[in-house]
Amino acid sequence: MTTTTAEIGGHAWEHAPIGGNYLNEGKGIKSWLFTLDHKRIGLMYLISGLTMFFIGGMLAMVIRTQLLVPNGLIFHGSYEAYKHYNQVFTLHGIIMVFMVLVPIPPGALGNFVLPLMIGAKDVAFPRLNLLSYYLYVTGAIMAVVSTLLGAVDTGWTFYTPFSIQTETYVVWMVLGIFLLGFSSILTGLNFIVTIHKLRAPGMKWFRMPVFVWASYATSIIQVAATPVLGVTLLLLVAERVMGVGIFNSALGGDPVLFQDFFWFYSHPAVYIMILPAMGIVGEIITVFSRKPIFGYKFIVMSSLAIALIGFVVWGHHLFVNGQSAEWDAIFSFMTFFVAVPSAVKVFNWLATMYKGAISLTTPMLYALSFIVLFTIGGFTGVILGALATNVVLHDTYFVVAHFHYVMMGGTIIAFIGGLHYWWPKMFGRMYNETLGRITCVMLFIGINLTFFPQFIVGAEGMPRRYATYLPQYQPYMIASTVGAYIQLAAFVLMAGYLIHSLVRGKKAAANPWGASTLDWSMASPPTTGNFQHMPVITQGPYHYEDMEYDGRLGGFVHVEPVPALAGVGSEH
Amino acid sequence: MSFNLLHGESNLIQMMSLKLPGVLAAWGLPHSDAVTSPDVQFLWDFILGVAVFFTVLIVVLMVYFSIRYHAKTKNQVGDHGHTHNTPLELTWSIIPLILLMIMFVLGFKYYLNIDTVPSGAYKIDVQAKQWSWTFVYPNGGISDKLYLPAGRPVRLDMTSSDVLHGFWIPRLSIQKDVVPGRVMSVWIEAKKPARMWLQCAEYCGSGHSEMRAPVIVEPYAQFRKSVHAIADIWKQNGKPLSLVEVGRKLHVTLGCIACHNMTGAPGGVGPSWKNLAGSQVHDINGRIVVADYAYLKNAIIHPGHLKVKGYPRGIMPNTFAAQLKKISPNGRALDALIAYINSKSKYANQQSQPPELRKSATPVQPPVKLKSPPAKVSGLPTAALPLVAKGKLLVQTFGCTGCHSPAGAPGVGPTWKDLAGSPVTLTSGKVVTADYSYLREMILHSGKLLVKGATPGVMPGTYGAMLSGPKHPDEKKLKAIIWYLNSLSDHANKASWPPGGGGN
Amino acid sequence: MSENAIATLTLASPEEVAGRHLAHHFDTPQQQFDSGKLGMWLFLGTEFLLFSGLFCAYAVYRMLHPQIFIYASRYLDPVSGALCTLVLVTSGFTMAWAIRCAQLGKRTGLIIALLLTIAGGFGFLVIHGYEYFEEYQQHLMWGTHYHPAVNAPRQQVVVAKSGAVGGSWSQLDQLGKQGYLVAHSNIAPAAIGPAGPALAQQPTASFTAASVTAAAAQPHNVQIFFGIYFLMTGLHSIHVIVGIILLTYLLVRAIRKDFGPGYYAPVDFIGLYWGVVDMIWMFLFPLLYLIH
Repeated sequence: MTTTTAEIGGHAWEHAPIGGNYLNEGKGIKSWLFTLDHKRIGLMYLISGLTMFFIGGMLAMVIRTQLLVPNGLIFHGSYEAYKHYNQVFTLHGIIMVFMVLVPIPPGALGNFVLPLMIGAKDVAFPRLNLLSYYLYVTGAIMAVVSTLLGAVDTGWTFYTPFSIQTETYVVWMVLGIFLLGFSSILTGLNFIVTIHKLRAPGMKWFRMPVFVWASYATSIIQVAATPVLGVTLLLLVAERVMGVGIFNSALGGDPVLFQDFFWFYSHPAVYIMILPAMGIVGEIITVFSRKPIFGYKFIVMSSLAIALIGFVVWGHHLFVNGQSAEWDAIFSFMTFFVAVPSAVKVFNWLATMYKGAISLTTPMLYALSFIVLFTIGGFTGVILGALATNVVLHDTYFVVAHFHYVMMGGTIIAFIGGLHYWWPKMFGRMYNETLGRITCVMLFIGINLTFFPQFIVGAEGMPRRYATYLPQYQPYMIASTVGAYIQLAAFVLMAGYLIHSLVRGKKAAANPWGASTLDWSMASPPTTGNFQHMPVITQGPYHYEDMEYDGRLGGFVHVEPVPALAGVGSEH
Repeated sequence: MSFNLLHGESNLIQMMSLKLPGVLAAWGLPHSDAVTSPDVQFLWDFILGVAVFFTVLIVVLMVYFSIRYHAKTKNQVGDHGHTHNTPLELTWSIIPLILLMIMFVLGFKYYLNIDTVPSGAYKIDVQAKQWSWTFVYPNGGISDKLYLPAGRPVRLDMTSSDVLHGFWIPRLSIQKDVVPGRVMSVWIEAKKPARMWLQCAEYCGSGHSEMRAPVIVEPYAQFRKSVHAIADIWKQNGKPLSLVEVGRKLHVTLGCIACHNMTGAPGGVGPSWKNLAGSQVHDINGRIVVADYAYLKNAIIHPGHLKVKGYPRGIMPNTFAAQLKKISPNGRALDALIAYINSKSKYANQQSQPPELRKSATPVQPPVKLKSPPAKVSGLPTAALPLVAKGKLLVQTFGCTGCHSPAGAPGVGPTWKDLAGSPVTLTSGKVVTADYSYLREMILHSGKLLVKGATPGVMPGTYGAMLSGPKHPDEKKLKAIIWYLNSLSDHANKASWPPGGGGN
Repeated sequence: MSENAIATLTLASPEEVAGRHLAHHFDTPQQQFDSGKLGMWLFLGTEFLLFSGLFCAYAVYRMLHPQIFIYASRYLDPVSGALCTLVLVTSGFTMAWAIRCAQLGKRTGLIIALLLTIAGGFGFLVIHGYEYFEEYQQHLMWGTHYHPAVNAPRQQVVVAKSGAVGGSWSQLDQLGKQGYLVAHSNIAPAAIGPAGPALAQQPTASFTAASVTAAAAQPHNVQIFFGIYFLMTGLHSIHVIVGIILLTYLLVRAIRKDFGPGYYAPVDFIGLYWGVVDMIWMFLFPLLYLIH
């Protein structure tokens, strides 16, 4: 086997074949389409997900442009025009939730990183992994088909009885989302088995990086909540195709039951979206503070607590629809309860920075942006979780702003941070750090300018999902639209320097950031089998004292025999 | 936020300069005008205070740490000694928990006040539909504006006739979904006179964003005047209404709509008004009369005198005459109602319109034929057709349709649709054909031939004496009924027809 | 973690067999088998959760409208349901026998057991299909398709005498107290349900004797029960069909001599699936057929 020793890598046991890596081992389109390699599948998820994010983002720009003037700039003057606006925001919501936020952090980053982090050669069921990707693609295509046939105008929540009555192609869309849900279940199932059964020798549960824990918690929700979405969507199809009547008040059914079913999935789904983001932020903060993460066990346990408590808070979406006051109280109580582990995480990240050696790289800036935006999003969630304030703010732009702070400012920002963090590992290239930081600042400003005015306008009295609005809200709407265009500019810039880095970027070292988790222990990019020799783990995931920066390589190398990572192959 | 501003052209710059300082001064909920608002405002301020405190703390610490502990060299590492501190971590778990529990308790306590409707509140009905709000006041007044008395609790009972809607008045701190099939109740007590908007908060389709209604809070005396003015059926927004429009308001106010639909759908408590005026109807004695002006007038003020066949006597209250007289002693309200009934009929003509409208009414048309001909007549001998019509009248007189649906709907007894000539399974398991003799036997002696699934003794045994026997040797009525049954069935054939082919 | 696993694989022949089926990313056949089993259990968990949504709908409606379920369940034939149960239980036993045969390498026994299990699956479908057909003939269907030809229920129903009532809800309640079966709908009554106009919808309207009679004969919204019935049993039948396809796949592989003591994971996993399909029916049968 042609190998080079420690020259380009950090760890003593690492041996990478010259030139060979998962990107160029196996050529041709078929080697990608039928690949079973988790890294390639992760990359395909990434590309598909970014495509969907682009489409969803463009729809968001249409929404923001429409709302520049009270009567609507693009769609105005008739119910038919408003219907088109409704179709646009519905598609925006469906794409962002079901095709970006839920599947992409686990599908792209989780797939790529998780087996590397626990020292596995692949996920437990590679074929299932590929199937899950193709289910995702099929679901996305069905959504596009339904849009071409007659775009759905129900809102991403598909509330009955409107979703039963509308003449748009709900069935296609719903079946597409059913497939996306199936894909999500298979991914979660795969990750759980991988984490249980494929950890490297010595990788005890509490030696796993926090991202793995976050993915584990995410997978539990995916497996346990998504089937309920599946049956809800099937019932909606049965409602439209057969006229079963379970959710149709005209046939003796109860439309509110649909909401219970829907949110039983869709609230935990919010945690599917945010937990991987929290895991990513944890990884980034410890690496760039060069200090072990503070209160590892609290962080781990808070992930699991969020996953479990997250199952019993769905009723807080139903405070104004006639749910009894007792149930309102229970769900409100649990909602407050689930805020505690989130708060714990934020404090622990701050404590990790305390007495650290902080470098404000692009990923770190994204992690810090995440903390600020997530804190704002979290606290406004508390306002919405309190019953008395909820009845004033329910279904307003305040809610829109709240979940965009959490989803855009939380999940997307963390995902982009993670993308920048693992970019060198994925593609073996470094991007332009200055442009990276500028883009992060632009995004941070853009997000705040877009969504902060929406808090105010919501509290002032603007309901969500409005194609037109009262003129007094216009100043806020203009600010919001300007913010959206700033975000668009930031994303264009980001696409520019990231694509540039693939062609012209500096070659990345095995461990450019000085991370101590296993995913940085092999060459960048990794080979198809990940590890030349099975690593043996003897200590926790975070320790930065035994590595040194090598300017020649542009990365960190271990400076002494590594007690932590004495591998079976170390005698090599 | 003045009311006029909502209507007028908005000057953006002026508004920005007016609004922004206000927002900076008190970034909070809009001035809340309900008695429950101070609670909500307090909770909002409390949570917001905590939120701002912690957000600032977090950001300051973050920035401070980033500067204070900035790495000077790439090889500098953080303090590896501090990996956890359980008491500290418990502290920052428990303090948020306590604060959150306080917020929860306050939120729930205030919410109970918002949610519990006080007894003795003034009651207004709210009807939501795609995409408008209608408010019905206790005096029967109907408006698309919501008038509220300042300083008095008002209970709103809300219904939706199509999809979910959301009743939301931000400035009165109240929101509730309107769920179809349920009555949703909220209560409001506005503190002082003001004008504001009610907006639909739950997405309801294309017109969602335009589904709003003005809310006008007035001093109680003024409010009473306003509601009185709404109940003035002759005017809308101070402008006189046409007679038809007045009638439209009246039919809702008086509650006619509860029993008489405008769609022509069967199954109403009273006859539908669709295509009623000017058409031929059967009176209680089976005679055919034309529903002209005099008939309609009589039917409204003397219910029971002239009734339509198939609709039992004594159901329609006889109070409308007095009510209409109270509204207008000269009978113009009655004319308005009749004008409205005419506006729903394609058979409306000079004779059916009230005198006031006759000049402008449609040209005289000859009275049309029977409104609804029997459903299935093809295949039956033409001579039998009058008997079919007679049979239909008879079954309505006898009340057969109470148990046997002519349209295939489930009922106590088997439906008549497609019965004649079709196979029937008896309790004994035997399958027989519903021919003439079977049908005759069933009507006269229902206990003899039991259909599978039917309960013995439910069908009265009195029909035999009414249709056959010594008093009715020719069984004319019975045959007419069976002709009618044949007209309802696709399987009708010579064997199921009464003998004689309708010739007698 | 793998020492024990390796120790158990010292038998020469099964080890070779197991080695042939070992995927590149697993270290030992035992690890591979354990992963597969955990994955299968998780998948079956999601199957349960899929049905749990329908069970919840069932529970909610039964709690709110018990009279619908009591009334409508009489239309279902418990004998046919019991027969289905018997057939499925038997096929569960033959499946267990198939797994045992696979573990012991008894190919003929495995093939016979699989054939019997498949036969059980088909038997279930035939019996249940016939039941569906009967219900279809009698228009005992969901939603607007519910208009049974044989309408009067099998139990004695008291009918309000013509003219006895002309009033509103309170009079209906009185009727209920006198022993009449009066329809109540606490939540979301139908505007115009197939069983007639829901009375709660128009509390101010007067009722004709005829409409009261109709209300007394059967509860409103009986179609809800049949909606839930068809959804639950339909989803279950789809699972049975999928099971039959999987069993046929096993049968083909068994004939090709793929299974033996060293490799029988697919038989084991599909056996688990079949067990869960059986178990779900064990819940469905009493919930739908035996309501009293």
